Amino acid sequence: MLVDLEWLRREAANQGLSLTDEDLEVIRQKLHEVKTALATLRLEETTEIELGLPYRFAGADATDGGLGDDDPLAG
Amino acid sequence: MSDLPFQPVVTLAGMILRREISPVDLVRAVIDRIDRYDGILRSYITVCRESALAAAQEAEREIFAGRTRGPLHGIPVSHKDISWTKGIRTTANSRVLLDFVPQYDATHVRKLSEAGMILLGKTNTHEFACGDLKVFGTTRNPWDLSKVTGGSSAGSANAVAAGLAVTATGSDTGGSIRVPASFCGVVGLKPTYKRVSRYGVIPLSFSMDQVGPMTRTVADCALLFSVMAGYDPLDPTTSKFPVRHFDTKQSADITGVILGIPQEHFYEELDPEVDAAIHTALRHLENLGARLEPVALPRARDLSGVYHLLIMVEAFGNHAARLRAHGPNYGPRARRRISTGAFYTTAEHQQAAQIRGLWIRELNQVMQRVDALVVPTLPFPAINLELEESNLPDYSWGTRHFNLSGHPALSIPCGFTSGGLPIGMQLVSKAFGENTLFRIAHTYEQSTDWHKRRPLLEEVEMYAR
Repeated sequence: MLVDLEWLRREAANQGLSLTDEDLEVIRQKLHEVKTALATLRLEETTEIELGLPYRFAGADATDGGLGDDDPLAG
Repeated sequence: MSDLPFQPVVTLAGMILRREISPVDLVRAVIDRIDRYDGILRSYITVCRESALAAAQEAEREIFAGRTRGPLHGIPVSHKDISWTKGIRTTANSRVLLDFVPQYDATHVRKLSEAGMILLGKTNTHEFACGDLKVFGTTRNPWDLSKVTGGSSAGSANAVAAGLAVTATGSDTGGSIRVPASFCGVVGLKPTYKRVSRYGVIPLSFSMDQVGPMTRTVADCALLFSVMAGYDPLDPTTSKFPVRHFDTKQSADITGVILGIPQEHFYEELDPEVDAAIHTALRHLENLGARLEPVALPRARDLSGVYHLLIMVEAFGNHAARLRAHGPNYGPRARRRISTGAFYTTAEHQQAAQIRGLWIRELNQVMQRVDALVVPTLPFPAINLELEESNLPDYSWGTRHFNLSGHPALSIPCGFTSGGLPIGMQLVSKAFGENTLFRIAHTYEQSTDWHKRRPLLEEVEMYAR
């Protein structure tokens, strides 16, 4: 496991979270699964994707000049 | 029992205008079904019997005096119990909020009310849209009571399917409208991010939550959407892009429409009956004049971890104070899932955000070449209730992609298994392209009869005895 149960216990206490050992074990398994998946997806080169991009994703309106108002069937 | 709750809104509106029925008849007919079946289906957390009947009487007076507000006037609507409703408790199906009574309506609740819709009740949901269904009972699938409804807009979906609601709304952060819509055989729309105000909706993930309609037909879905959508100064994320009404009379033609068929992920490892149904639907769309085009979306396979990290980090941000104060009062599934968001590193979060950005770029490039994507909503039909208890399946398998990207996505029925369970087809269009989805889905729907089927509720009656 990538995440140690004792570390999780300490970090939960540090964050003021009241979690049982059963809670922490379930959380640990999910963290392991997600962190392992992310480790396989590391980018091999620097990308020009700026960090703000994901939150401008569906900007088809005039106010933020994004994509999308070319829908031939809309309207 | 009355057949009225199963009629499309457009039909009901005409009947009301012609005084063949009154809103009071309609509300009574739905309440009759709730009284008869809700004890088993568990669609509702709160039923607003008295206030709904009073509102129906008021609507009747207004409409019969010639003061109609439009086609939704006098039509009942039920809202997922994470939408704030003034003076009516809003629990999110959590012991933490059992006595919470909001002082105002969520914007979509207010807009539908101003259009004349009658608030019938608050529908069951997984706790805070991500946990268990423990506090108010487990929703059951009206097509087979041993099966799940899916979630988290569980009660909205099974109520519409079983005639315990005429229309409903839900919220969708990774599939919470489309998944139960697919399992229960109804229409469910996750609008474009920014398109519908989230003001007054208990948040899960600010960058992925959307609110949308759940109905029996595509035309009804378009009708509710046209009222719910639009800029809201109370939700600064909403867009000023104009909302255009969808006209079913001028839109039943998809000749020349290009439908993208992803070559990765979405058609892999499907249940055989889902596979057969979706391919039959594709051939049907081709026969209606659409052109199918294979498209490459290789990043679609990689998004499970990215999605989970982003949603739970944001959810933890929303819930942190409440979790610290009331953590033991959360159900275990919500407490554990949301708390997971406390333990990721900033580096992991930024990596997930980067991959999300690359996915959006990949999807946008494909969407330049097609009018819509067509994929199964889920790779399997509704599963047994016990399976969900023991091991939560990957419900967002085919839906989270479009919460990550913000694109609008619609699930409509496209068949049934040999065991009588609905199968859903998901259409995805460009940002703000909801009318494209309605046009394709309406044309398909009008040439099939899946939406006309109704669950046989004798099983419910036997169960009740």
